[in-house]
Parts: sequence; C-alpha cells; structure tokens
Amino acid sequence: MTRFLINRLLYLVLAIWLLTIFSFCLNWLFPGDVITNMSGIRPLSPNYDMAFQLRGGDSNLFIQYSYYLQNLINFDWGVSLVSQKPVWAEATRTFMATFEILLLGLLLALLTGLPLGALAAARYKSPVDKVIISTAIGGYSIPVFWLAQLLILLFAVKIPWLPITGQIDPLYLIEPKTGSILIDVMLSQSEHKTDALYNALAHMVLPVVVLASLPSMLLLRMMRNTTVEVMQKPYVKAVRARGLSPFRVVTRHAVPNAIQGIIQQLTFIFGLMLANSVIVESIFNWPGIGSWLLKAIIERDYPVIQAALLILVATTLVVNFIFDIYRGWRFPIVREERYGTA
Amino acid sequence: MIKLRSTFPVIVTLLVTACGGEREIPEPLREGLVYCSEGNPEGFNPQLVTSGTTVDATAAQLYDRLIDYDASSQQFVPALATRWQPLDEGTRYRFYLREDVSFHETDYFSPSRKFNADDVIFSFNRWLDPTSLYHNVGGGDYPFFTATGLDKLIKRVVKVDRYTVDIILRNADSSFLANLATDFAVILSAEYAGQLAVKETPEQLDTQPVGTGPYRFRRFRKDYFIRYNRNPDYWRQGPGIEHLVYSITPNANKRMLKLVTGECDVIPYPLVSKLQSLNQKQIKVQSEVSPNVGFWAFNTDKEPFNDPTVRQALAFAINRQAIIDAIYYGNAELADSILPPTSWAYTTTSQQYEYNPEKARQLLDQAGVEPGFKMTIWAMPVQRVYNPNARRMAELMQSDLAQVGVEARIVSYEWNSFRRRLSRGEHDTALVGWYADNADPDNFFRPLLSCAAVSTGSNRANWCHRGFDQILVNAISTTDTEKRKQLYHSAQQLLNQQLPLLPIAHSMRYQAQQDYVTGVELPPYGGISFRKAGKELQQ
Amino acid sequence: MAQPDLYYKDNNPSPLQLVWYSFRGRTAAMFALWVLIALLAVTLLSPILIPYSPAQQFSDAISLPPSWTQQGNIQFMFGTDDLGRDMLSRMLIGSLYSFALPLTIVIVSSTFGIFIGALAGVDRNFKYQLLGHVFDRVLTIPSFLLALVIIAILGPGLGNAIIAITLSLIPQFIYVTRNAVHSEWQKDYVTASRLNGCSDTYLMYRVILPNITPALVMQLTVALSVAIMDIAALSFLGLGVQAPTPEWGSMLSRSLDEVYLSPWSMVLPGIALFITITSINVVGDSLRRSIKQRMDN
Repeated sequence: MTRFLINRLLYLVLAIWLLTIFSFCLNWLFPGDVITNMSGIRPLSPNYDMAFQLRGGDSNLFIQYSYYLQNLINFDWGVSLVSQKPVWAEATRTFMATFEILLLGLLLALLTGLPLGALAAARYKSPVDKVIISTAIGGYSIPVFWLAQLLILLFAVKIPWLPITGQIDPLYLIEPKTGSILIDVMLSQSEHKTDALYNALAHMVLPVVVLASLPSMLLLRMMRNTTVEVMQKPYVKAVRARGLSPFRVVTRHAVPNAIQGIIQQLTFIFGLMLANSVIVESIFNWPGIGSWLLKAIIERDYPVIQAALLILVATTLVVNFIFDIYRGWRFPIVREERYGTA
Repeated sequence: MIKLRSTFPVIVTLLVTACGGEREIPEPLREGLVYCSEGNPEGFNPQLVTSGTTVDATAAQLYDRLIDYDASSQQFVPALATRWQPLDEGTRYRFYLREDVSFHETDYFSPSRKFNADDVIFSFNRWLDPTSLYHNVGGGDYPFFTATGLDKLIKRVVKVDRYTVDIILRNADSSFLANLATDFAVILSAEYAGQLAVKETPEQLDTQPVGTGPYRFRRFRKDYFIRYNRNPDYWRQGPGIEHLVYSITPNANKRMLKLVTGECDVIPYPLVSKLQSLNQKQIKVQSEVSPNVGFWAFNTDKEPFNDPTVRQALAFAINRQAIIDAIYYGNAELADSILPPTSWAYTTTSQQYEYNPEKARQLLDQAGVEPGFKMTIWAMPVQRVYNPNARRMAELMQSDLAQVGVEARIVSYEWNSFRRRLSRGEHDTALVGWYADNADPDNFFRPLLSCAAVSTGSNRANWCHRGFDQILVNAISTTDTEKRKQLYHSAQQLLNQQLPLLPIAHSMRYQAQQDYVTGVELPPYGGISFRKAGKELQQ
Repeated sequence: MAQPDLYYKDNNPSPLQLVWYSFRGRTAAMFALWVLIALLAVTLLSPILIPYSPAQQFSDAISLPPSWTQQGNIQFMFGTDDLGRDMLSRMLIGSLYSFALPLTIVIVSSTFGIFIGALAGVDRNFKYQLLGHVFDRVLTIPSFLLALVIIAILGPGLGNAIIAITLSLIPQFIYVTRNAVHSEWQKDYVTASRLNGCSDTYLMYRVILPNITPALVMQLTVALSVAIMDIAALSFLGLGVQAPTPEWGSMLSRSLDEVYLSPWSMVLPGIALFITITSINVVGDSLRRSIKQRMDN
C-alpha cells in the first residue's frame, strides 16, 4: 500500500509540476506584455516596475520560472486586469462556490442514480426496467443548457417555486467570505439565519438538479449493467435458489460488487460535472470558478484565465488521485493491476 | 437505500418550506430594494466617466450636486447650494452653501467635519486644475467636462468664506448652470481625499466612495452586486428603505424573468413588448419621452470611412425602418437628425437616407469600394435607452450590407473593455448612442462630434471638422435663442451631408417595477434616482 | 484475372460483421441508425433543400409561428425568428455546423488518435510507459474543459473552436486504441501470427485492426456525441460559431431572449440537438452491448 501511495503521489506531483510549466508558458502564448499577463499590472501603471522586479522580468527563463513558482506558492497570483482585485482571493471564493454545488450535485446523482439503477436491475427486462433505461438514455442526451432553460421556465416562471439566478437574495446581506453560501450564512451575524438558509437552499435547487442530471443517468446505467451482470453469476443464482429475496440479493451481493466499478468512474463523472459547471454557472449566474473563467475568456483577463485553468485542472488531478488511492486501499486488486503493467 | 429513506423527507420539507408562498416576508426583504442593473460600473466617481451604467449606479445615490434640475417646473433648484447669483454680467457665479451637511460615515472613513467650501473647491479642482494632487489619479480624463468645454469655461473656483464659493468664468455661457446640475458635477469629500493621500492610496477615492448622498457605499463585487445602506444623516428627506442592492444582470431576458418572479424590484430597459405579452398585473411599466439618439458611428480616421460618399452609401444600404420594427418593436421613432424632434433646435433635413441598396452600391462604386469589402460593426453588449439590443441590430445590418457586397463582422466585448477599445479607435463602425445630460441642444453636439471630444474618446466617429466646431462655438456664446436656432439648423444640415454618424432612432425610455415600489425617479436628463424610494407592502 | 473459388471456403465473418449481425437485431438501434442516416442525407443535401437563404430577412414576417399553428404560414414551415429569417432554412444549414462539422472533426481527430495509439500500443518502451501515465492524467480532464483551455489561449471564434475540439478529442482515441492494441497483442492468435513470421505492419493491419474495429467504432460514436455537445455548448456560451451563422447551440442561446414571444425558436434547435445526440447514444449503447455479446460467445 505504501509503495502504491508513493507511486501515485509521485505521478500527481509530476503532473502538477507539468501543469505549472504549462501555465507559465501561457504567459507567452497570450498576446501582450508577459509581466502584465502574469501580474495583471499594466505597463503604464506606476507599480509596473515593482512587478517587473518581483517577477524577474530581465532574468532568464529558469529564474523567471522559479520566481513564478515562488509567487504561486505564496498565493501571490497577481491582480485581475479588469477589476484590479487580487486573483487568489477571488479564486478561492469562486472555487468554494463551485465545489459546493458540485458536491451536492454528486450526492444527488448518487442518491438517485444508484437506487434507480438497482431497481431497474432487480426488475430486469420488465416494463419498469425499460422505462427507467430509456429515460436514462434520453436524460443522458439532453444538452445541459437546454435542460437548464426548460427547468427555469417550468419551475421558476410558470410555477413560481424557485428563484432563477444567484446564490441568495442579496438583501440578506450575506458577505461572501468563504464563497460557499451555506458556510457564509452560518458564519454571518445575520439575525435571519434560518430564512437566509432556506433562501440559499432554494437558490441552489435548480443548479444542483441540472448539474446532477447527467451523472445521475450515467450512474444509473452503470449500476444497472453491473448489477445485471452480477445477478447472472452462479453464486447469486445459488443464493436465490436458497430463497434469498431479490431485494436482499441486490443490496447484499450486487451493490457491493458494482461499487468498485462506479468509484472508478467517479473521476470521470467529477470531471464531467466540472466541465458542465461552466455552463450551469453562467446560466444561473452562480459566482463559481466556471463562470469566472468564462467571463475572463470573453474579457481577455489573462491572469484570471491562468488561475482558473490552473485550479480547474489541478482539481481534476487531485480528485483523480484521491479516488485512485481510495480504490487502492479498498480493493487490493487495483494495486496489483497497476504493478502488473509498471 | 436506508440513506435515501432518511434524506428524502428532508429534501421534500426543504423544498416545501423554501417555496411556500404563504410564508411571511422576512424582515430584510421588506426593508430593502433590489435593482437589477445591466452592467458593472467602471468606478464610483461619475466625474471620470460618461457611461450611463456608472452614472445610474453612483451619481444620484452616493452624491449631491450644488444645484439640481427640476423637470416638472423646468427650473434649477437648490441642492448643496441654498442659493446662487450671477455677478459681473454672468462671468462670476456666487454659491451660498448649505450648512450642516455631513459626509458618509463608513467602515473606511469617519468625517470629523461637516461639508464646506473646501469640498466644493476640491471637487471642482479635481477635473479643472491639472496641477491639483488628484487630477491624474484614475487616468486624468474627465470626458464630460472636456467634451462640454466646462474645463475651459471655468477660470477658477474661489473660496469667499467657509460657506460661500465663487466660480469665475472666462465668458458668459448659457449652458453653465445646466452643466452644473448634471450627474457629473458631484461633490466629493476633501477630508477623505486628504486622508487617502497620506495613506498613499489615492485611487481608493474612486473605488471606495464617500459622498453626501442618500446612500452609503458598502460593498461591490464585480459581476454580482453593489450594496448600499441608507444614509441616516441625510440632509433632506431620504429613502424609505434601509438597503439598496444593485444585482448585476446583463441579460435582458433574465432581467425580465427575475422581475416576473419577484427577484428584482425594479429593472431598467425592460423588453416592453414581451412584458406586455406576459400580462403580469403586479408589474408597472413606466414610459417617458427621453431625449436620446441611437446611431451608427463611422470611424472617420480609417480608410475608406474618411470619405463622406462611402458613409452616405452605407447609410443608403441600411433599412432603418426594419430596425425600428424588429429591434425597438415600434417603440421608437426613426431619426433623421441627431437631435430629437422634441428639441427646440430641431430641423428636418434636406437629404433623407431612405433604404436604397442600388443607390448604395452605385455610390460605393463611385468611391472605389470593391464588392467583398470587409468591415467591422462594433455592437454594444448592454441595453441602453437608445438601443435595446445592439448585437441583434448589427445582425440586421450585416444582412443589409451583404446585399450591397459589404461583408461585415460583428465585434463585441464586455461593456467596459468595449468602451476602452472604442476610445482607442479600434473600430471601423460602432453602434452606440447618447442621451442628453441636460436640456440644452449643445449637449448633443459638443460631447459627440466636436474636435475636443475626439481626444476624450466620446467622439466615436473621431470626426473633427473646423467649420462645424466654429458653428458650435458661435451657438454657445450667445443667449439669443433665435440666433442659436439658426446656427443649430445649419449644424444639422452639415452633419446630414457629411454624415460622420447615421442617426437611427429616438427611443422611449422605459422602466419596469413591482407595483409596491414607490418613489423611484427617472429624471429626463440623467440616471435613475432612488432618493425617495420606498416599498408599500401589505402585511 | 479473376480467381475462381476452387475449394469450399467456410465464410468467416469479420468481427465487425459479427457485431453488425447482433446489432441488426435490435429495433431501437436500427431505428436510431436510420434516423442518423436520414439526418446525414438531409445535412449533406441542405444547401439544395433550403427554401430561402438562412440570412434572408423577411421584414413582413417577423417571429411567425410554425405552419401547423393558427397564425402559421405554410410558406415558412417552422416559422421565422425575431429578424424574420426562415427557421427551416436556418435549422437545415445549422445541421452543417452542428452535425456535419462534428462528424468531420471526429474523423480527423480519430485518424490522428488511432495512428498514435497504435504506435503506442505496439512499442513497449519505457518512454511510452511514462507518456502513458501522463496521458492517463490528461484523460481525466474532460474534453470540454480541454477545449476551453485551448479557446482561452487562441481566443473565441469558430475556427478556434474547431481546432480546440479536434485536439481535445485526440487523447481519447489514443487511449482506446492503445489499450485495445495492447490487450490484443497478448492474445494467442497474435503470438501465433508472430511465430509465423508476420511483419509488424501486417500484424497491425490484417491481424489486430479487424479485431479492435468494433471498439473503435464505438469510440467514434462516443466522440461524435461529445463533439456535437461541445460545439453546441461553446456556441451557446458565445465562444464558438458567431452571428449570423446558424448553429443549433447559438440559435438556442439567442432564442432565449424570445422565449415568450416565440417559444418555437428555442424548442426547435433544442429538439434537433436532443434527437441527434439520443440517436448517436442509442447506436453507441447498442454497439457496446453487441460487442459484449460477441465477447461472451
């Protein structure tokens, strides 16, 4: 296990290191002044000379890269070209906002996808199964941006249940400290915490549902297919023959077996959700990292683009690492597989 | 499965409680007002800008002026100055200031003294005197004052005593008071500026503002919100709400939907025809005749737009009536002059640019513009009074231009970058517009088309015509209305023939709000004012 | 010279044919396949089929509902949009950008991807091992995010979006090909062929390729649905196709302002996208099941 852990960790560090080099190179790929792209300080600004010094503007590339890395580690990520506010502070806030709906969306996807998948498998080839599985294929094929609009029209406009955009009614005066709205409400001194919390949750429903829809359908299909496979194994037939109810078979035997494959897929699902969060956030005006990146791309705000890309890609890498380690820990066979090829 | 069973009821309860319409409205929502604005302000000091978005967000909320313009009585009324008098045949104005006016007390500044003559002098010298400490903070451009010539007109601002100020002019000027009453001539705190200068963070003056207005600045988060608190020490009748929030919502459709769902209390630039088709009873739509013009400016610095024939040809190529129908839904009037017909200086022009593709092609050939000529149309990313959807308008024009063999590409950036790039003259042509800051017709000409406005960047056509400038100067230096009228008539004829810009429409100004919102004012000249805003909720 | 069949030959269907026999038996799959074929035909013929130019504006017919409604006009079957452009023509031309273009993108990126993947699958050097591990990491980044990265560098626009999506799809193909080749390589029949003295090239094209084709075809369908979704999403966000080019994603995005007055302008492109992607997914899903069936037998 230790060897496995070290091995994975090395690859993670290597990947992140390559990522920083890539992100460093972006400063040259973007048009305009390199130091400005890094620091967000325009050449005409009185602070430019200082930024130039701090980032080793006249030294060679290696020294510049070491300065760059140093700044990255010290969380001195420069300022936004547009708002002239520090990038790092905004980056953490937007990241937390995204992470919040991502986590809830993943939870919702698991809570809906897995039971429905198991249900379909338990009723294999029955009408229930057919309905569930065709819904899943259909649901998997709806473009998220279309689904989001349809849901807004239905549940916010036609039936006025839910708000359309934002994190919370701004009149609750919740300061975005951490970025995660639920935590911010908890931390706030507001006298109306309960109301604010309900309001924040209502704002969250639509983005979370839209974000969860695709992974939920994926999980459903995966769960059903693996479960069906397990159900046809001889040992399951044996326990069935001894009179174990189909429900018990599914929960006791099929599900634990299906979980491993699903955890392997969770990395992919997480990445998918991260990508979709760009679309969902921009539709629901959610102050997350995806919509932050999108605005930066449109406004050509290079320091922000860099930071957002760095964080998004690093997140997928780290999440991949965590799931990998978890799988290696829970299912020793994974460790052996890895060494089989290494 | 067990997990599911226990969480499901929780989710359902949450949904039901969160959505239940029966709940009493929580206190913060009753005490505050949400205005869904269309974009980010560039800063919080209207002196530095001409953008309506910034003016809407700051001028009437954070600041006061020396005098105000009352539209109903069409007179100037006292604000920070209680009274004023012209001296020395109109070349010196004496202002008597109001006593007992305090500046905002915020978490970044606590005033130790009340408003006095020093603040007025500081505020004027900021844009007037290039040697003043703060002149170059924020770039040193004061487009409104340069474009109206106010910086040339005023010679000095002199303190007579603690509560009396003299403004000395170089010559008598008929538009002086009108310009002082605009949203741009705000009064800042000299004490705050002094403190910031000591701390060496002078740029904070424009990002963390302090004024005397009905609201205090609390927080701004780009792309999301601006928060204001009521100023409890306001010197006149203040608002009936505690909090004012600008929720930044650039998408017009989303803004309308948020009004329908009650997430916004007031929205600017509603899609009127759509709102009417929704038939929502609790929503009020206010409309007002507004002195504005949406136009298509040609960058006359660039080939071939420096040739009047080309500009005329392009004008003939555009079906402006179709634009009025499709973009304004008929809520606007086809413009044939830059001045709206309601202005006393308006005149009909001799040459009408009706839709005529053949003639356009013929003129283009004559000017030597080959078929397949490529150009850009810069379209504003936000809605303005004078143009509800510039990008869509650009699409219409794109296909009109394709008919005469001109390939147009549509360019659009975020609003502030868009304006910055326009000022640098990166565009070939641009769809922009103007609405009047005051009742004087001069406000349509000098800020938009004078040579002085080229350098400040508000002359989007980059058009500088000496003869035209002379007419404007002659018109401003006389108070004889009949003579001025003649001069403005000839100015319009000249424009019509030179066509640095093609006027498209004079539009109505609309605003939609919930019926329980009261006192939100749309002064005909200038931004929106929440000074008397309140909410009348039934309990 | 024609070679006469002198001996009776047991007709041995290729793996792809085997999969096809199984695929043929699935009603939903065949239906979806026919939908796709029809779509492809319509797409390719769209320049001929359109009744009007997609950019032509009928100023007397603005926001006209589809012809099957009360106010509709048979002249404009799917109605017109807010600038008076014929929806049918725009949808048809839009299919070029939303369907034919992704198809081309997938073909180009699969060519590169399969070639590199095959090389990587054959060569078992250390550097490929390392490359493989770095690659596994890159793969965890979804293609849409990768496309966003590339657009962030190149700037928005249709050309850049095409480059971005093409590049972002290549890794998936490399990965699938490499793994497929790798697992086939260790099978007995390949070893037998090698013992017979077949060259690597022959092995690749005549021995391994036929056996991994079904897996590659399936990857093609996956990539196609991803490419369609990505190009629509990028255009929806304003980073891809620019006005006035009709593309389903951008049509959807601009229709949002009109949702109340002309709901059809939002519904039609949405449905078109939905049907296309569903059909591709159904085909892909059935392929996967057929491949599995073949393996099991």
